[in-house]
Amino acid sequence: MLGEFEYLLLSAAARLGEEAYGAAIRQEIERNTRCSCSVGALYTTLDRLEKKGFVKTWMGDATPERGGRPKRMVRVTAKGTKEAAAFYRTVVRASDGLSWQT
Amino acid sequence: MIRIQSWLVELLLRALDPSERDAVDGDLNELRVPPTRAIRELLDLLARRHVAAWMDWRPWAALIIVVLPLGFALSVISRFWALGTAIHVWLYVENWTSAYLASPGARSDLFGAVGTHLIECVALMLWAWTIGFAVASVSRRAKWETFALFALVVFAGTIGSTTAGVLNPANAAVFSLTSYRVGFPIVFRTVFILLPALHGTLKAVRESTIGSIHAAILAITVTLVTAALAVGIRVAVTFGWWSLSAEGPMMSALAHLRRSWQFWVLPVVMTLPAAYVLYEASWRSPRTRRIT
Repeated sequence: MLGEFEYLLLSAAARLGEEAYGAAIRQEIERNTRCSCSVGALYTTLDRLEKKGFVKTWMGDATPERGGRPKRMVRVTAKGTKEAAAFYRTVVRASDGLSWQT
Repeated sequence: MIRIQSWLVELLLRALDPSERDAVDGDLNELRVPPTRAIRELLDLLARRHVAAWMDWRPWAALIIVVLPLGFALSVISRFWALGTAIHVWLYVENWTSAYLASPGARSDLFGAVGTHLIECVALMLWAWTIGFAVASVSRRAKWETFALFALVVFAGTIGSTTAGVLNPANAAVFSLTSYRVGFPIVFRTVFILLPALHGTLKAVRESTIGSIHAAILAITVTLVTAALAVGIRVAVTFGWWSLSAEGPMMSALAHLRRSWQFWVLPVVMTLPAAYVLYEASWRSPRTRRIT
């Protein structure tokens, strides 16, 4: 079963598609959660997901706005998609009939 | 202030794996993360990386099988050999006289001492290099922590002890001098253990294995040098760690030590890191080498 942050990362990467890389995923997570996402959390989680076979990463092109540094590109694998879908179904099932009011 | 912070960011980035460094640097640049926050985030990433490294079994295996036992053995042996060398340095350098070359007996003593100390220094360098290389190959992500622990064991392993040579009143002229009793072993260990081990570690950072021919030459050399010094190793262990608090010579403890099997296999144990380097070079396929 995925962790909460792992799910957020997979969702952000899936939403970004071909444009999924470290900085873009981080911005997407921060936009969705309205919480800051550290480079440490992002990269260690990416490594964990890659080790589990849920994402594939590779070094992409360098761009001037990155000081000529390459991007770490991310693609969600079929196994990762299946796992994220299972997590989502679990959350929906667990939330069924509940009305969270704050 | 900004310059110091930028320099700190650069320094922390350099502590990351080369494969990760550029991507992280690029992300921080692209998102225009302020230097103070970048420092905090990089420290967080480094801490997570080091904790993750120690979740693996490899650094623990390197620590328990190599760093602690061989580091302690090297600590005892190197101090004993350093103090033995100190006696001869005092005799032949500080108190040099041409009479040392005049008589055949004195000449033979001089050349014998130089030869013995040279081979001891070569042995220490070879053992330290192979330990540095083997440990860094096994625990790649925790290599600097294991190196620091190795250095700590080598330098602290003999604290609270002395040697039979230091206690011998015949050597009082040498060991009454702090530079020979304390300073010389520190310099000796730094030059013949710490620096070769550091070189071995850095070599393992660049290449996960060495060529099989080089590994074979290294293993043969280590084995030959260790075999030549097998008696010297046992003598160093026997007389190289004497309790400061013991009143008399520790003959009963020595008799027990000399009967133990560990005492007799110690020279073989010193060659194990070289055997590991040879194994890695011979049996790992080029494909595996590239991946790791």
